[in-house]
Amino acid sequence: MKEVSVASANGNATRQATNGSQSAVMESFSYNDGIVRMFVTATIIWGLVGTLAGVLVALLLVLPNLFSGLEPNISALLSFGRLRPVHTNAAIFAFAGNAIFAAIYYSTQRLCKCRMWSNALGLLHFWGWQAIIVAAAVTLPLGITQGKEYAELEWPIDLAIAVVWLGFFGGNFFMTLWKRRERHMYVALWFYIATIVTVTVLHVFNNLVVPIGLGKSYSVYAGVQDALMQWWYGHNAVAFFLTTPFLGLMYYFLPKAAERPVFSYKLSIIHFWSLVFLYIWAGPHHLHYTALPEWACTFGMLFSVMLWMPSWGGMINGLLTLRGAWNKVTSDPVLKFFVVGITFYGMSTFEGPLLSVKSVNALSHYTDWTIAHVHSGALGWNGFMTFGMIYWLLPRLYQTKLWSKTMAEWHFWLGTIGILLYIVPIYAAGITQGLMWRAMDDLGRMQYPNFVETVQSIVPFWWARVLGGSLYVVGVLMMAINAVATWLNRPSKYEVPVYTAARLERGYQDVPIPPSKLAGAPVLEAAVALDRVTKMDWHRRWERLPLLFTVLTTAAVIVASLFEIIPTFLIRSNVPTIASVKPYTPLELAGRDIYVSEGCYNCHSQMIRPMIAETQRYGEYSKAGEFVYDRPFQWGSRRIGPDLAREGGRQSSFWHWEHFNNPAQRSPGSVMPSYGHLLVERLNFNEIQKRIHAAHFLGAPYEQELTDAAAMARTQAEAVAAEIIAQGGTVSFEGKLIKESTAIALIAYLQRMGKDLYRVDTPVTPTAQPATDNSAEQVPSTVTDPVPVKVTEPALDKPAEPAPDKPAEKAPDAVPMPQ
Amino acid sequence: MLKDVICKLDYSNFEEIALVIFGLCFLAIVWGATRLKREATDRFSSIPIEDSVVDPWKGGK
Repeated sequence: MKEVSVASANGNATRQATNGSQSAVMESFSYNDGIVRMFVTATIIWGLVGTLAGVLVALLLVLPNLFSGLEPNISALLSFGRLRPVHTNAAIFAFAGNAIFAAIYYSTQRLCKCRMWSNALGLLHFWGWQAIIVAAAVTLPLGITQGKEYAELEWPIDLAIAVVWLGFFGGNFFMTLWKRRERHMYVALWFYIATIVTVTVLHVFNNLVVPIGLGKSYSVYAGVQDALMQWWYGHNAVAFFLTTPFLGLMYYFLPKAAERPVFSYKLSIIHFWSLVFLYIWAGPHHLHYTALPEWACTFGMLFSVMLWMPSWGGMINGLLTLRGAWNKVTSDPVLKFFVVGITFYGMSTFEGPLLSVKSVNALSHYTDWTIAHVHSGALGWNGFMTFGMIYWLLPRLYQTKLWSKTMAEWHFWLGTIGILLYIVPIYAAGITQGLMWRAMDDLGRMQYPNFVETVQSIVPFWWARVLGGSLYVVGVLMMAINAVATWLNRPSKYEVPVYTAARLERGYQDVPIPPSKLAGAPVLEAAVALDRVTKMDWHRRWERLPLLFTVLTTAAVIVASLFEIIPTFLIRSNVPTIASVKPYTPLELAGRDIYVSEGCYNCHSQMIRPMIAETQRYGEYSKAGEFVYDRPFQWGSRRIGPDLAREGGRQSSFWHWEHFNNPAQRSPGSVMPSYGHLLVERLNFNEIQKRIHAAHFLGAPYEQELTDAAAMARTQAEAVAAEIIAQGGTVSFEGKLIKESTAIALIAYLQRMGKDLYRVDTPVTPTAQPATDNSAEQVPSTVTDPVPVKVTEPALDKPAEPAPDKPAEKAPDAVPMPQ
Repeated sequence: MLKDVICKLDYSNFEEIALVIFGLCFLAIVWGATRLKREATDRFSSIPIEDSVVDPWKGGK
């Protein structure tokens, strides 16, 4: 190669490099490490906040009255239902999110041999993301939530996320790719592309809502469809926010720390495409035995099981990268964190497919088993990979030695012991719960009919979790101290190395494709073309074409998604309607919104699975048609408290009133906190009207409610209040009329839940029946008096499967009224 | 029209169709990966551990 120096306009030296007939302009550049320092700092701060919030919510389960001495309005902000989303959002989007950004900003520049395209976009991204986190930390305790797990943030914040994620972050990343000086995109960059593209798609489509104010909106999806969208999003948030970017991190930082190239580049190609293609289908495994069509669940299970393959391919590729360097692991805390992190990745990606198998899921779902699984991934994989990266980055970013390697070693051991102390007891708690819920005596009756008994049996395990979580927090605190001390030892001025590289040329010529041996042979031209394609090294071509690579990744994600989403939305028999299921009354709708706002779904499910153990405990199993007016769906994913799908009529309204005030008094041993604030807060009847209009806009067939919602709500509130007074309550509570309290609306909703299946309407003649589009699928409830009421739902395409260890349960024609 | 087409689909076979699509893509990717030459994969996998700028004309092809 021959080089010629050329003076550039900005004073930087550039060179004209020539190589035979080709030439390249050499450019000088430096990396933007300031933005990486900012994201690393934010990662440490939010890591502390997120894990501390985790310990706090863990404490609230063993000490439910921890904040009972505070003013009701204050304790409301600190209830488990409102704080749990703070913990999950802080851990996922604040801690892991900032870690992702630090990793991407650092590694992308090095892998592209190029500074990030825009300093300004980087700063907008950083401060925009921190503002979003702060907004989440403020709104969630206030009860401003969409009520969907990991998608709780309301629409103004969702809009901000879209702008910051795609506009600032995505724009900056893709422009950096465009301007890169390294021809081939390394595997880490592929994972970053998949992350940015897929999270955008998931976020936008799961958060389509109709707003009725700055802090409240209704999902455009309802019931079963909302559930499918939510868990398509929820599972892939795990996949594309907590897995793919961390795999990119692994593929970059592990070789750097081990000073060895990745074990197998070819395996990384197979790992990437298999993971992207498979993950997106797996969401429905969160909904086994629910009212989701059975074909969709089988879909989810099938692809979840297949995920074993790429996940373990990635783990093996990571661990074998350390071949010949295992001696370093004993002395380097960075590699220790990486090794344990990758091992936890293997563990949790083995367990995930296992939990997606229906027979296992029948036991594990709604129990703490899922919580243990999630935390082995979050604390072990995401946490430890982040800590390893930070310890590797600190000396490089602050251009000084790490303040204390010993402290980093202590962090490693405390963290590891903390994780084990957390997950082992919670695995035991989950399996205990699952077995107790389904335990039957010799007469076929529930062995533990009192739900509280099953909760109390696992409280000791919850205490162990508090201890394990606390150790983990102490480890994070040690890292924070180490980081601050390292920062204090930084030089007065950072050195900024300047690199030189050639600008990529437009007219890049690939290696010519060798001629086909079939040319001239008596075969079809298609065979000749196919033979040439097979010789193209086409994946190698993709690796230097970011636009094509992005399009292919997007196509893989979207095609897979459509396979599940289109049938669920367009084939009516997937969501059979039930004629007796009516929209909520104005007061009930307001009550439902309080249910969502308080985060009740964090402890209570609304989905009775078709299993003997569940139908005995909770009543008739849930049908898809029962949820057509539920926006958002509230099936939940966990049962710290009992299922509420058929709560209506189980208890008196006065019982509910008293229960909100002091749950343990009505239900000894309950870990539910007091919701006394609901008894004194005033319900704003006038703003119910716009809720009705929004529900009507989305398809609820309201009539009189469209003009008289407030008056109708007041009338019903008076009736509920009268019922409470007749059952032993008082007209006023703490000087305020109970009929105006928010609790009345919530009680109205609770008393409605699950009752429509048994609704007895005035008989109508067939000729008076209004024709509807889906009348063929609507079968009106036949009125018989007295009960049982015959309720016929159009049969699901495939009958729900009974639990594997229970005798088959036939869907009954005559459903007894729940007692 | 799209709705009509979708409604006529027999979605009970979707699992099998999806599996076939994945299988084809997977085989294509595996085959494509195995086509890569050793010197190319060695160079690509060394990109992260090369902090210095790689000469674009060496080993790239």
